[in-house]
Parts: sequence; C-alpha cells; structure tokens
Amino acid sequence: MSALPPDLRARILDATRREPAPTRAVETKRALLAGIAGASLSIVISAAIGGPTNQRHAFAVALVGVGAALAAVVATWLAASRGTSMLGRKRSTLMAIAVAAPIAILAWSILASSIDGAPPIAGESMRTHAICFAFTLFFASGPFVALAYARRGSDPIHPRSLGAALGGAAGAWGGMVIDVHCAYTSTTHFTLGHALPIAVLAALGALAGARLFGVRAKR
Amino acid sequence: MSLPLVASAARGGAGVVRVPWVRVTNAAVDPARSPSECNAAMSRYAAGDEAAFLVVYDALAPRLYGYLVRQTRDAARSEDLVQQTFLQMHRARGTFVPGADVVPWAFAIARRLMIDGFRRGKREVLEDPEERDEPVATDPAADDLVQAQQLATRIRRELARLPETQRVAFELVKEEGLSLAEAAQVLGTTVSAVKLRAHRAYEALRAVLGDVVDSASMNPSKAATASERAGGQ
Repeated sequence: MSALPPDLRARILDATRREPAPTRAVETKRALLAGIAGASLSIVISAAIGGPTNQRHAFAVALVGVGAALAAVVATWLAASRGTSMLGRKRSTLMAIAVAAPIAILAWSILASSIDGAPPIAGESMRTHAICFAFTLFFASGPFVALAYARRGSDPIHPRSLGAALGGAAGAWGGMVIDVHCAYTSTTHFTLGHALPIAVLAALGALAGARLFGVRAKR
Repeated sequence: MSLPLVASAARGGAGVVRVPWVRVTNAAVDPARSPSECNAAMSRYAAGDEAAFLVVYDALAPRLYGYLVRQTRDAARSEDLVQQTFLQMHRARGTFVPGADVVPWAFAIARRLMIDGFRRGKREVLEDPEERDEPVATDPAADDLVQAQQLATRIRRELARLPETQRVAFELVKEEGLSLAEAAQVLGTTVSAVKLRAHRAYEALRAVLGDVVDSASMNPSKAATASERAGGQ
C-alpha cells in the first residue's frame, strides 16, 4: 500500500516543466522592482496631495515622518520576510506585529507632537476623523496589495496571523503618510483617524489571511 | 533517517505492517540523503540548478508519501498530494531561504493540502480501524506477521481515540521520524508543546497498551529484530 509509485517522479518532473517557476535571482529582481514602483507611487501621491495645510513646524512633520517610516520598515521586514525558516515567523511574532503597529504609530505621533512643543491642533469632529481614517486605509492599500502579492499562498501554518501582520505593516505605511499630511494633532484624532485604520487593516488581513496566504491546491 | 518499524512478508510482499513509535532505519530511503544535503539541493534548485530537484524529490517523496498514506489510507489521493506538495515547493523555489530546513516545510505543505482537501469535501470515507478485517493466519509461519498486523490495528484504533493535537504530534515525532524542532515547525508551535503532546499521547497509549508499549517501544532493537524475523519467514 505504501510503496512509492515508480512513475510519480516522472509525472512531477513533467508538471514542473509545464509550469516554470522563477529562480531566486528573478524573484529578487521582481521584489526590488515592486518595491521601487510602490515607493515611487507613494512619493507621487504624497507630492500630489501636498504638505500639511496648517502651521505645523517642518521639524515636527519630518520627525513624525521619519519615526513612522522607521516603524513601518521594521514592521514590513518582520512581517514579510520569513526569517530563517520557510515556514515564516512564529505566530506570536506575527500577532505582536499586528498589535504593535497601530500602537507604535499612535505613540510616535503623540510623542513627536509633544516634542514639537506646539499646542495640539484639535480636529474634534467625526468628519475629520472619518476623512483621515479613509485616507489611511487608502494609503495603506497599495503596500498591502504589494505585500499580499509577495506572500500569496505561501503560509501552510498560520496564514491568518500572517495576514494580520501584513495588514499591520501596510497600515503602518498608511499611518506614516497620513501623519505627514494631516493638520490635526489631538490624541483623539490620532487614535481614531490614524491608528484605528491600521488595526482595522490588521483585522481585515487576518480575516482574508486563509484565502490569500494559505497554501492551497490548484483546482 | 528514522521511520516506523516495518514488518513485511518477504515472499510475495503479502503485507506491510507499520507499528507506530518504534523506529528503525528504512532501507527504502537512501541514507546518504541527509537533511542538510536536501536543504543544499533545494538551495541549488532555487538558484536554477534543475537537476537538484531530483535530489530533493528522492530525499522527501518516500517520507511524504508514507506519511500521507498513513493519514489518508488512500494511495491515489496520497500520490496526488505528494505531487501537489512538490509543485508548491517548485512554485516557491524563488523565495527559498538559503539554509532553511526543507523537511518541515514539505511536511507542513503536505499536511495543509491534506486538510484543505478534507475541508473541501473531497474526503474519502476513511477506513474505520474497528471495521477492518482482522487478519487470520493460514499457516504457522505467518503467525508473527499476523500478530504484527493485529498489533498495528490495535494501535491505530487507540491512536484514533487520542485528541487531535496529541495524535498529530505523536505521529510526526514517533512515526514520521521528525525531530521535535521540525514537528514544532510543522505544527506552528513550540518544541516544549510538541514534546508535551507527544508524551501525553505516549502515556495514554501506554495506559491502554501497556504490555505492547513496554516490550516494543522501550527496546526498539528487540522489536526490530522480532520484526525482521517475521519478515524473513
């Protein structure tokens, strides 16, 4: 019953020949190109939107941007790379990224604003919160699509956790862009408009994780 | 490589009985194919060396197929799953992390595909160990083989009663010969969790199969010798 069929090897080799797969060099090149294209697109969109339309100091804007970008880079690296195993990072690490990303962006936004010394500029209306919420999701959607493409169908162990982590990482990029462009600096606005959408994206990533990132047989 | 004890009838290949947790070297698997060689071959394949895929296949396919047959009890389905597993590995070769372990990756893919298939409703009606025909010895020389078959059936029955997490950990470590670290990777948990689950499964089996466990698992070489005797007859 358990003898390996002699023709199985030939069949598998035939199947691999019919479906050529990129080598590591090709894959690396593709990832680089995707990264450059994504970054260029973000810069173009950012430039088109313009800087903050209020009296925030340039130093404060740069500070919050650099810190948030650093958080986004770290989150992306931890979430998207597999570490030393083909099975990816541990579930606990991935979940920590998903949880930490919105908290890090929120904490840094508040901290950078307090370092600036300027009084908080409140945007205490649901409309402004909702606008920033939507824009954060919009800015994060590009990175999420890129990360999802890079890790599609690759996780046989914990695809939902991977989805949450990638959602958090992509959300951190969205949070970075909105932090730079947003005029308001109140804690409530940072929480509802900038950090909450990151958590929402992480939750959406977890929900879609099994379908997007799970290993599935081709039908 | 460690695999389950195989007691087989030499003449005519009448039957193959796998007794879980007792591990002996399986001559069907090339012992030269060490995990590190397999990892290196996968790395070469990722770099574009097409011939290296054969090394990976030869090192992994027998183990994967054996594992899948034991899980699904369906040879055709297992063939399909092995093929799907290697295709997944082939598709992902460009993202292979140099130096990463191939064995837990392959087992994790195979296990996921198997579960996925079950969930899609393709699950065949598994053979119920309790409904299997008990083998009957037709001549005295086959007694040992029949006893081994009965033992395997009994163990399968008890294994099936264990909680899923314990059973899977036990099977990966004791039947498939994965290290605790490899099994932990396949199951996405910690080494200590796998160790605990496998140990609990072992203790549960020992509680109901005490005589067998004590005589066979505690002394694999003795059990292997008995098996070889059975196979040689």
